[in-house]
Amino acid sequence: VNDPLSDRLRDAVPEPPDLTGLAGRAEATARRRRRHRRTAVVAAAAIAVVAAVATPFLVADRGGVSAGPDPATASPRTPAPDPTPPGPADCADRPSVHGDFATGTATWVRFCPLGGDAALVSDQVLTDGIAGLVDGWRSRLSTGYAHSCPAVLGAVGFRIRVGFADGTVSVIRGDTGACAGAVGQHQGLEGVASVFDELTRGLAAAAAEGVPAGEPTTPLRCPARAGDVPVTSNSSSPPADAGPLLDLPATGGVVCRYSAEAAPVSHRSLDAETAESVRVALAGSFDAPGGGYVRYGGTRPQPAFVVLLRDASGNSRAFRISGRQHRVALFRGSPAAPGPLGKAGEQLLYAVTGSYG
Amino acid sequence: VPVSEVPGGFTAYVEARGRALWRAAWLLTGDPALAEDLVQTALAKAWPHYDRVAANGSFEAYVRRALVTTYASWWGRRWRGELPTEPPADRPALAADPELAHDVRRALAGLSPRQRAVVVLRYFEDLTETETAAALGCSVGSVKTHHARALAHLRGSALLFDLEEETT
Repeated sequence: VNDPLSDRLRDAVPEPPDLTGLAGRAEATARRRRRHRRTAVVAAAAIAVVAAVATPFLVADRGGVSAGPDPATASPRTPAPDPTPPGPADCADRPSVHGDFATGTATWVRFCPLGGDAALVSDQVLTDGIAGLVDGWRSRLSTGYAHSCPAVLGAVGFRIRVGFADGTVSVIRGDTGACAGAVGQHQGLEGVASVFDELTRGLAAAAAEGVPAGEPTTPLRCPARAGDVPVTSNSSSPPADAGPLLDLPATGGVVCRYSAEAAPVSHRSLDAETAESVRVALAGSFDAPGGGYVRYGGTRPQPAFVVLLRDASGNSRAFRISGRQHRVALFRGSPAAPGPLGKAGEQLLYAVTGSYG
Repeated sequence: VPVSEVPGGFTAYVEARGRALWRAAWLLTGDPALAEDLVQTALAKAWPHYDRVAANGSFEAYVRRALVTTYASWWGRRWRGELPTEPPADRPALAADPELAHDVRRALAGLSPRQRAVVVLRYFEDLTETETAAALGCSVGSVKTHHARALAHLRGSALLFDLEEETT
């Protein structure tokens, strides 16, 4: 295809970096994958053998597969909580009566993520301390959001529904790219970012009520290499299938700094306030327009950070921030996968790197 | 005999073609570091098959296919990269024309992974529709559809808007 588009694509491509050793790295990666695959096959075979041997004995002990639990020995069931939270039955419902956000007496707030599994804050309802919270939002949200706000790829949309005593509902619309702030018919609001942050904190604080403090756990330790994330762990029960974000407020943490992702060169402890700021930022905070690129020092190779956060129950989460060529990626989840830092952007980096004063 | 020990084998191939692969990967990802990761991952997938595939003279096509399929799978894992609103001031000026590079990144970022791959393979790698279909593992008709939709999208971008102004 000989086309002006071809010329433009060719002219646009930068000069490649130094790719020395690429073949060796690819080969090493391939060998590592092969080893992992073999290990997985052996493990699966072992599990299958154990299951085949053990299942007949287990079935015999229970008196047959279809017997079910013995009512006499079954543990008493605790009463199930009210499955119907206040407000719309679920986030898909559209409120039929729109409330007056400026004057209504708020009785509940519901966070409705639109991003499916991309959302780090799940569908939750908050009912305690709502009046003061919403009063603060009224003064913080203001129209006149004039400057252009380009869309950010990967931004997750959300709706914050505010229910009032008279049964009406107002909806605050926003996304983690901080572009689409609106409430009611008012398009273009500023301050939605801080509303998101406050609600994220409030939901976690409400979830923490009544949760017993975890057993004293071993100190959070930096992994040997930044690439060893995830190091998600709990002294008693590793939440391997837990989400990438703590559900409760962070009560402390550690920031480990690495040079070129080699051995940790230093680490700092985070107090509860800073740790919670990092957790909230990680939930999908907002970035100034321009966002994907974050200044990240001028040295090459640039440092990497591993952040370990812990909550009151003793659960912990880890994530990694790695940067190359002034580009930063966030690795989280299990297994850790790279993702856009954009929304968290500067706020998250400031909280993490700022801990180094 | 390990592939890496074969004179002129896998290592020689990477030395000869690594930079070209990186350029295609940059167009797919729009990011230098991700491009390097993508090339390395594609090569790692292709390495175990080097002896067999290279004997047929089709290792280049094999690696190219690994490149685009790996890119598509990364996209499926929600790696989106970010869309810059303006070139950052502190970013090294790797491209000869940073503004053009920025326009290209913005324009390609709006395409679906398949559309983007079709554009890169057709306009950068100079593959035919049949070769593109083979690289993507889809039909020629599907390539034509992705191609048409990609161009329709690019016409609305600064990248092709200027081009159309030049030709009218």
